[in-house]
Amino acid sequence: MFRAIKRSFIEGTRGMFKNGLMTVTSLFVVTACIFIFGVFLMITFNINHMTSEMAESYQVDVYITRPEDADDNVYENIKARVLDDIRKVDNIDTANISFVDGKEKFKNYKAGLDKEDLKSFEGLPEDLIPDAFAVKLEDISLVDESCSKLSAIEGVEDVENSSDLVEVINGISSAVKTFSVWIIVIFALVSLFIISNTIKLTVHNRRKEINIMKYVGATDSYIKGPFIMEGMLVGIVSALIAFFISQWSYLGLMTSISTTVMVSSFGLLNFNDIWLRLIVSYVILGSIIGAFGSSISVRRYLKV
Amino acid sequence: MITFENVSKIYDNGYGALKGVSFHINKGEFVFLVGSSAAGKSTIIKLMMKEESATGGSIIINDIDVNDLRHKEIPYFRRTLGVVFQDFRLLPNKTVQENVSFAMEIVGASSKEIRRNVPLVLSQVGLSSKAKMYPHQLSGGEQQRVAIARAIVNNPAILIADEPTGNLDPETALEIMAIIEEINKRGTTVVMATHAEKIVNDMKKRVIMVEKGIITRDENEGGYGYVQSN
Repeated sequence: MFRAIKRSFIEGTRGMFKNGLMTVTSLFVVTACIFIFGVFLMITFNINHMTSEMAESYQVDVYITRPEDADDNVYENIKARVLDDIRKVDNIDTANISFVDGKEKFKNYKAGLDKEDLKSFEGLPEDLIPDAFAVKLEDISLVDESCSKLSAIEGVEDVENSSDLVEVINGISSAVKTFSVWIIVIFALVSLFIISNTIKLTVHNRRKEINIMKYVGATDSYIKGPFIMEGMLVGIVSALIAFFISQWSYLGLMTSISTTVMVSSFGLLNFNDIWLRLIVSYVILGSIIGAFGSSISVRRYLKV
Repeated sequence: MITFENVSKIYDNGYGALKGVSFHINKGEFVFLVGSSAAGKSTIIKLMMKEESATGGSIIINDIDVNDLRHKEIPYFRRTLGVVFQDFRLLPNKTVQENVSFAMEIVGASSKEIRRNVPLVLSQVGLSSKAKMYPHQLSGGEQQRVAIARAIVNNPAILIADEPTGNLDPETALEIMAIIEEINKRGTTVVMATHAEKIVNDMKKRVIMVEKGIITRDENEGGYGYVQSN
């Protein structure tokens, strides 16, 4: 096994150097394809990051009705019942439900206003804002469904959320993801075509040797090994070059955003957070495209 | 060892190369396949090596039903055969020694076995002194010896030779035949397709004559001339 890999590696490397210009062309095109794939991958990583950050800070306020004739005891019972019912609703993060005192909230709100604005609040009752439970959701894409269930709870006056914002973010996120998948597929196919053509040249040059190997009793995998390795090497080298270009571009982008917009990092992920995922994806994509591309080229010479 | 039973072969273009061919070759036999060009000799060789599949009939080689072989099994089947071609088919960028050891590497022989067997086989074909040379530095006869060494290095039970002397002068052809005969004497079955009339007549081996896809003669200690007189 080790001997077969060693042999494939040596002959694959030799094939790569022998093909010279064709290898350089492949490296160039495949690097470009992987880089473009990477741009969309980085955008997807950042969108996912933003969505999850938003989901973490996103909350739904469930306002409690206090009947006019209810004394404190009755009201406490209502609150406890509402809290129980909230906990029973699906998609609610039950560990993250907090009580928001309406009077306190109103007081704090007024504290942030200047004297002019405060005039319009004069004479209004202290309990203008009802008490509420601030609730977090496990999956914010299901916000509408969860809110309608929360609204249906007896004793709930109103449910406040910013579902429009969630819809916009979810929409952008899913559009970018779909677009990324298409871009990845298209550029993977282009790379496949290029690598397959390069390897075809090596295979064609060595068709006599392949023929002799077949007569002597070589298995298909023994013959394919070096060609697949050559394709994989082209893919992996392209992946590494694309990675360094991505790193340079990403860091450059972050620097230019922080200097021009004067907002550090602008909510973008640090390169340190994504480099490992990025390089692993690049190398896997490069190797698969390389192996598959060469496999296509060598197949028809194995029919003897 | 080799049994062809009512074997026919029709190529995709509709050409019927073999029409109900039957013969049996025993272990250790030396058999010449003779006949004019396009008579069906090459098709028989191709069927033996499973390079082509028979359209009808059965082919049993070394107790293996060749028609039933799956694609994955073909390499392992071919390792039981040694093949020599008219055009030698050596790898030009490999030395004599590498051309032979390459056949052993393919079947997964250890480096130790390769180091031990290759010099032995090269001495058997008289090429020990030229182990480090490249094919282009050798004469036609020497190149064919390398091809023979490559064919027998894995100890095949059967040696198939397709016109092995076709590109050689008569004297060199005799040298090659002496080597093949020696291999046969050591127990390897030899099937050789040839046009070399003198060699067939001199060696007095079994002759199977193929004409227009059928066997017209199967004769022990036969000659080539008998055919031409018909």
